[in-house]
Amino acid sequence: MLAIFGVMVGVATQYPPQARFMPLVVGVPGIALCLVQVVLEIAARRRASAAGPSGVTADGPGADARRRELVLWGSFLGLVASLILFGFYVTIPLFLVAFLRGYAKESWRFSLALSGGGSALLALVFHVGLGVVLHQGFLLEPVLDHFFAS
Amino acid sequence: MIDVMFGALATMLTSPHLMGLMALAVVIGIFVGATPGLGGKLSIALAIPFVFGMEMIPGAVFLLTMHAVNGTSGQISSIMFGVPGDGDDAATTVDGYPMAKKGEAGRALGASMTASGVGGIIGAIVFAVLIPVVEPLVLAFSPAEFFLMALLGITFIAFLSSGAAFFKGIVVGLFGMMLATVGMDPQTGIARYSGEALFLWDGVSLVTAMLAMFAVPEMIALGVAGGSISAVSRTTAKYSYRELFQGVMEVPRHWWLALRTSVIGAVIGMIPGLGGSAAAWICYGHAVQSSKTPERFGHGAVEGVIAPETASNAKEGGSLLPTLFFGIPGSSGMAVMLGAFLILGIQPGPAMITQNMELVWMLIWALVVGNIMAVCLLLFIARWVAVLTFIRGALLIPFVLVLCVLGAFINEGHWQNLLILVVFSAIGYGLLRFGWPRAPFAIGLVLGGIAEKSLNTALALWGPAFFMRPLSLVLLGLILMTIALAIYKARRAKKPGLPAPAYE
Repeated sequence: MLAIFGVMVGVATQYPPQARFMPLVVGVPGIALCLVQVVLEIAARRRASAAGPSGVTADGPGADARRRELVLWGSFLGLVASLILFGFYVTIPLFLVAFLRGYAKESWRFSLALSGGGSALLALVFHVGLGVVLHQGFLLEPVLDHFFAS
Repeated sequence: MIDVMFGALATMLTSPHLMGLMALAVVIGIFVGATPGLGGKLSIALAIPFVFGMEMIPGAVFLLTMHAVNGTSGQISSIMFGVPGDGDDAATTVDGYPMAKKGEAGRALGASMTASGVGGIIGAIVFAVLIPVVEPLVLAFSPAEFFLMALLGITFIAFLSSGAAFFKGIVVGLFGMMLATVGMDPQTGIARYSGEALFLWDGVSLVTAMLAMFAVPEMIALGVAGGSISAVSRTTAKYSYRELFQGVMEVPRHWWLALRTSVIGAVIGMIPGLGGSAAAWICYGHAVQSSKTPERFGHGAVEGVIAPETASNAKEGGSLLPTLFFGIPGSSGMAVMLGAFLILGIQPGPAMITQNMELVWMLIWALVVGNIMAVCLLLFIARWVAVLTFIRGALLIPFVLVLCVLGAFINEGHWQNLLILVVFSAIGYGLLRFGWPRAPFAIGLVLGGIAEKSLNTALALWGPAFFMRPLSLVLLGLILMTIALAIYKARRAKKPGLPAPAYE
């Protein structure tokens, strides 16, 4: 948070006075409070270490939880990257099947049925119902052209 | 006013479009409310993409109805399995679960659903009754007061949502306000923090930020925790409709308690930052204190179910008042709702009274009609809705993530918002993981634009001494008192031998 406020206040100083007024009104107290928080946390850690081994310890998640955390973030980042490159229509059904089969350990039949039904429902609501035009992806068309161009 | 009031009701009841949307909102609200992990702020954030492109009144009525009935179905898992759907339902568990264990699940459910519906209706009535009282106050507010109200909202919610870590809450609130400055400066036309990125010139997408801060981190945390959302065995307590009806009749039997706790809940809802948990626990305490047999509480007293349920649903009506008239969300859920209202083109503040009273009455009636619909439906389907408690988190996560990316894209049609979603999700998850509150962010982001506009106008009108106006001084005093109280509580909590504050 301190870094975010620091960068934003630093950038704001380059704007004209009227444009930088609000970022400074908000950002400078933000930096001050971040520093207060840093001091409070250092003091709390010192107190904890002075209390000896029975003091507060910051246990992070276990190895298993850390692995799940990485897998979930990987899945989410993969979903977003795939959406940008290949678009919604291809990515969503594939992501649902991959997640249900790979992470949730569901059977192939259940994963295919649920992701098929879910994708169809989403397409019905957003594409047909709300008339939304979804992102097609930057690579989908070139890839299709490459393989199917006559 | 009577014309507008009943005109709004007539418009609502005679419009198949509105009634259809409300019925849909009730069904979705019941579903997400009964599924632990999906209720509250998350459900509103997820619903925003669905109202994109809707007109102001249908969109607002849909979202508010869905939010209002969330709590009514949320208590099913609290009573039947001892698993609160969210913080609001925790107080219901204290007596509801023992009742279920004694074989009175039907009576407890009947009482809680009816109490919840009655609370929602009385909360809306309290709001309606207070409109003439609040009207002169709202109209007396100048830009100076609106700027200070924004700061007060952040201070309140930081104080209440982060307990002793008050500064963390304020920092997160200021971070939200800082992000609200991204985009074209309304005064100079300078593109702040956006450079050549055209998609940022209109500012950070509210929908994307809300989904990133609340929905994605919750889903990752749910996946990291692993297993089923409900940690209890699937030994559903059996009950008959006769028992359910007995429970329904408990509310008229304890009408005086239901009325008192509904009014208390609605009033608590009006205080910015005080959420449903506070309303539910305060009213539970009130029920214990006012009972002639307080020893029954905690062992399955039906009053211990009625009091928190009426209060937590009544607070929705109450919290709508500061949200609509002052632009200050009464709760963190209302903060997300306020963001949705802005997306729909609803501008909170005095204009609601002078120009949009029809919408205000529509929302009040939506609370009343939505609660009646939800209670009637739930009394029949509660036993099947209970099954939702056993949905595995791993089945829920991919669908919620897909809704998040759809929501982030659809709102403005920019694929770059997907990148913003990733960045803010990482920040949101960091806040969640390290125990920083996220609710103040929503208020900061939503109110940042209003605060900047109000501050600039106040400075132009009165100069730097704008906060010396009498009403401004009162608000400034409230902000300073909240800060002083937070520091006092934090110091008190550190002293050995003293109990930790209740909100921790």
